[in-house]
Amino acid sequence: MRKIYRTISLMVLCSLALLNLSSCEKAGTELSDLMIIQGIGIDVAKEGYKITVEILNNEQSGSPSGDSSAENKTKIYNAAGDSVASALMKLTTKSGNKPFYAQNRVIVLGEATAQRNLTDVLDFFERNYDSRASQLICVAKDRKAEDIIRAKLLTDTVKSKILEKMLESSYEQSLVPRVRIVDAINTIKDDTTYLCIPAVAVQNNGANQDFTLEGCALFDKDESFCMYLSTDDARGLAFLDNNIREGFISADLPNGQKATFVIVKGKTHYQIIKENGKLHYKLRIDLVCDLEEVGGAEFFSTDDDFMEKIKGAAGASVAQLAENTLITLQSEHGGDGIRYGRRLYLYDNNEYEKLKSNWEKEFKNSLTSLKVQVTIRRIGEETFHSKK
Amino acid sequence: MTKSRVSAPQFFSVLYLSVLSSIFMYISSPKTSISQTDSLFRPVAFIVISVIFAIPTYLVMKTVKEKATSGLRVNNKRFFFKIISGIYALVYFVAILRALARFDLFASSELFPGTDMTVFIITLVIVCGLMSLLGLGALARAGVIFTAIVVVATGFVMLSLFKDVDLLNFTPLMEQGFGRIFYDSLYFALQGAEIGIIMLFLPEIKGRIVKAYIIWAILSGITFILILFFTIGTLGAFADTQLFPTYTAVTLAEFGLLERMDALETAIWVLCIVEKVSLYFLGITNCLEFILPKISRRIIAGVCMGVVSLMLSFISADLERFYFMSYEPLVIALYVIPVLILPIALIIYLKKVKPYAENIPNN
Repeated sequence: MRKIYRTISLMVLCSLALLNLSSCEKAGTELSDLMIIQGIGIDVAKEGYKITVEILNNEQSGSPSGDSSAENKTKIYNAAGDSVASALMKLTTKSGNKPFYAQNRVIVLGEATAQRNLTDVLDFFERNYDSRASQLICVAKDRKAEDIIRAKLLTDTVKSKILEKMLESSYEQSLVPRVRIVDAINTIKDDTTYLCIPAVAVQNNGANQDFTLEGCALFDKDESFCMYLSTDDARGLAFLDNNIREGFISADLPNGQKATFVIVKGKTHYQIIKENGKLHYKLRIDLVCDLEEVGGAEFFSTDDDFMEKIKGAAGASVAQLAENTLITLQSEHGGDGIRYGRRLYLYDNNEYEKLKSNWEKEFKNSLTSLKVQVTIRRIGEETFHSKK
Repeated sequence: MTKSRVSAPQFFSVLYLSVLSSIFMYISSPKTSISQTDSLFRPVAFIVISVIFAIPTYLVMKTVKEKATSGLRVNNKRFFFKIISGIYALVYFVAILRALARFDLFASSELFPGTDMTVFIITLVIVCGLMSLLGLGALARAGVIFTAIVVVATGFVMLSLFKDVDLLNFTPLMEQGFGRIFYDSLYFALQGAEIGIIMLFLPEIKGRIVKAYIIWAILSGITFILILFFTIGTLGAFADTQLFPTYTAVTLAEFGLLERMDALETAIWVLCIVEKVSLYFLGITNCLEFILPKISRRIIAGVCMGVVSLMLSFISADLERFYFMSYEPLVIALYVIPVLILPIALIIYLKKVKPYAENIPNN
């Protein structure tokens, strides 16, 4: 009796699991009936917003013959509406399928969209339960987001995936900050920080196109577009905002030689003091690097004097990069894109409360002193820089 | 009886999973910010409050020395004990509804947005009901295995999240004042209502209960601190915009090729909720069996499953009804009644009204 009872229970539970848990998102919904969005481009249109989406071509992906040459891997749809949400909803009428946002990789904001208030654009992605906090955001510099989503890349692949990889690897190389939905919302909620979103473009490569990184777009604390930071200025952000991942440094040596280093790890330390009524940020950037290449030197030179020279040159190169970025941020259209205000908030909350209402001016008047300490870990394959 | 007896660590591993499910699905009150660094004080308050509020239960334990043959389910026909058992059953019946309604809200918001999860939840009720019929021994043995899985998986997710922690997401300490921290901490501690259920299983737990309980409280508190640290560190102020911030934090975790850690986390949550609801079902069945000795356990469990399923179908049909299950006075009642009021009532009854010695049957 006990055995029969167990068998029946097991069968009932297995049947319930099979019937209810064997499809994606919704019971009885085939994958091919879902519009699996990979990338979303948002442009301004007469109605309000024009949305361009890249979706997986499920029918091709699920082809029993496995033939992937007949059709493209993705499809592009667009729709317009008076809000981002309504435009996205209208996509259903074009494809007949329900949009599925959980697999979306990137959100591209067109040039004109970036000029609008960011909160309005991103609100949908914050509220929608399907939308993931890890989606990356970028701005299409001097063009529409649609141009990015429709880029004719060399290979038939998921374009948004390539864009996502480019943004991720650029972040890993300390070239631009990584801005996910969570980062954008946090910065928008912060009273003093300006948001820096990576800017991308497409450039022709023969008959095809490639994505290129074009620095960053800077948004003020009211989420309005301020200016673009050049690629070099965007690189300096990582050093000033303690976001150093990996990457490379090129340094000019006094005798005209050139050295290239790979950053292994880095950290920026902050000290905030008040001097003559101005905030003074004392930054110490510690970098551990591997020497990759020295041009114009004696082959494999390792003497101490030479090593000290190249360490100094690497430090000066980083300091120059960071100083240039700081000058741009403290210029007329710039602002606190390096979270100085947030650091003051944690370091001295009372001082922050006094200054936050006038933070733009305080930031631009603040002083920064930089000290870069470079440690060379390796100078060549299997060779450590150590005194033997 | 011997088969259903469990060691204190086994029992508290079930309780650990149970309280973990409450924290995973914790929704702070609208007035409260979860993204404040002060949130890290809440688990400390949880430990302190859990230990202090367990004193009445401890006093009952001391009063009822013959644990093996005593406890609430003593072979005693006194009306008072039946009333107490009835209240326990009612409290944990509502606690089951609250836990499953919260899970329903999670599943229909995060896992399958906009989908009616009634069938899934009813399946869960059946699974838990059947598990409870296997007895405390089976539940506790499963609990030990589940705890190992949950600890390893949660640790792995935390490790994956480590690189995403940004210390600038934290806020200055005591920013909202001590009063706010005190209120938040108290409300947070109320999530651990399962400590009241210890009373129902005292006869079945062998070993040093007090020691195991204190270790449980401390380990649970440490786990909550870690969960909150990673939630605040990775999400910052964004956490306040999310219904289930812990889950959102997990969606950011990646480890090599594993990009969807939330699937792992969901599995963990299901294990926790299964253990919790099964334990509650077992507690209710025990209480009702004591009140209605002539009715078989299976029938009692079946009826409970049916009523819970019906009520969950009713709650699931309207989002407004989820809010009622998170209504503050209800949350307070679910903690205060089994943890404080009922044990105190028992102590008074056993010491003043009817000395316990009179109630022990002559075996």
